[in-house]
Amino acid sequence: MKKYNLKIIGCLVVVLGLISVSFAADSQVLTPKAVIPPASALSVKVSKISGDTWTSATSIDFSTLVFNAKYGIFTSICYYAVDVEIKSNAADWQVKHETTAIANGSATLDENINVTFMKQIDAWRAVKLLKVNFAESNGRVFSKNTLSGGQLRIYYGLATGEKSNDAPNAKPVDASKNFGNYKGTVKITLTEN
Amino acid sequence: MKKSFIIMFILMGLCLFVSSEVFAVDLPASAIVPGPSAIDPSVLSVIPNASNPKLWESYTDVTRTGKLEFTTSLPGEVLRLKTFIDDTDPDNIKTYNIFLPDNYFSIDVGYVWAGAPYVAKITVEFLLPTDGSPSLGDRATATFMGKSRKADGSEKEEEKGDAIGDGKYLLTSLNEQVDLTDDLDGKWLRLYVGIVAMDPDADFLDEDVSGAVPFVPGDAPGTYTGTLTITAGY
Repeated sequence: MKKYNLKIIGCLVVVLGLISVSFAADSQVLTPKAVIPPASALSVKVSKISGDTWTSATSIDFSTLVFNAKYGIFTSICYYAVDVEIKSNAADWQVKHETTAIANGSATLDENINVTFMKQIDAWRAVKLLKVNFAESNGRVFSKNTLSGGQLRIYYGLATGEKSNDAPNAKPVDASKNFGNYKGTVKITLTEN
Repeated sequence: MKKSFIIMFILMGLCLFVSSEVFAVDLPASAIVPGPSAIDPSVLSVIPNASNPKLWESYTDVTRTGKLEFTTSLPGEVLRLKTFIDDTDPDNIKTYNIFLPDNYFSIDVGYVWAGAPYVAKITVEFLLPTDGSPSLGDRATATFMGKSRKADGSEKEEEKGDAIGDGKYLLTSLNEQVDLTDDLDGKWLRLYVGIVAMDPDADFLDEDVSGAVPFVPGDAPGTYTGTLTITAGY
């Protein structure tokens, strides 16, 4: 009897041993986890362009305009480019361009400035998205999809009276414009969905 | 209470998720439109259209001569005697015999830009003749208009609201200052200088002012003169 019992225990040990071996061969489920936080940034780079020379600037300041007696209009020696760099991992986003009137009392330069929105693909290639006068540039929105493959660049320049140069509703500053300091703002906002 | 807080919190979270303004950048935009450094008047002698005096039949630039001579095509360039009938009151029809020229003058006060200091005002005054000749002062008027252009660049038609100050002044008492900002407000100054007509059918540009005296057959013959000066103030 004792001998029989030993046999049974031995079998159990063998069986248990097999089970143990069997457990060691099974896979263990692990759950890797990483949280990517929302990341977004909007930065603008303002460039003042005089002829072929680009210099860094912090505002869109046309300074004192120059009267062209031949055509009876005021011109500026410079124009501006604003590069809008957006870094966002949101599923969708929009960039909005808003303005307040460039005003001197009741007089404004809102119809005298061309605003050109470009999708800049690289340093040399760009696609024109829209060209309007300063007043009409207010409230314009460009989506992630529209700007896909490039980044937004906005040019600001005084109208010259040339149809080939000016936005449809832009006109040059003529001699009847009130003299004085004209001030306004441009606001660029990134909104994520 | 606790439940409503949770719902509100969820709704706020949804709002933030749907649209959230992440970044905004403000850029100042500015320009300085310089003022004119001097004035540059342009004087035209205008022959109005016979049927519509508002239209210009022809004009001659007399800026270089600086002389505003009221003339006609009659020999000796004397004024022409015209008869006006005022029948506005059928019971009191009046007839006037008035000497008038064929022309009047339009003076556009243009500008020259050559840097500061800037012109801030324009003074127009009449000086009596100093050579003893009779004065044109109460026989002629100057009308001050603020002129502007339409979007296509053509001149905008004049309206009564474009008149500056009282609009029309007798030369004899003329000493008016026009402020470029307050009075002109982006327009340019045009002066019309004409002989008193006393025309009962005249519109607002041709209304004559108090104290105006037309040339009539009883006036002493001779040359009536004076000097109109336009001065820039800084």
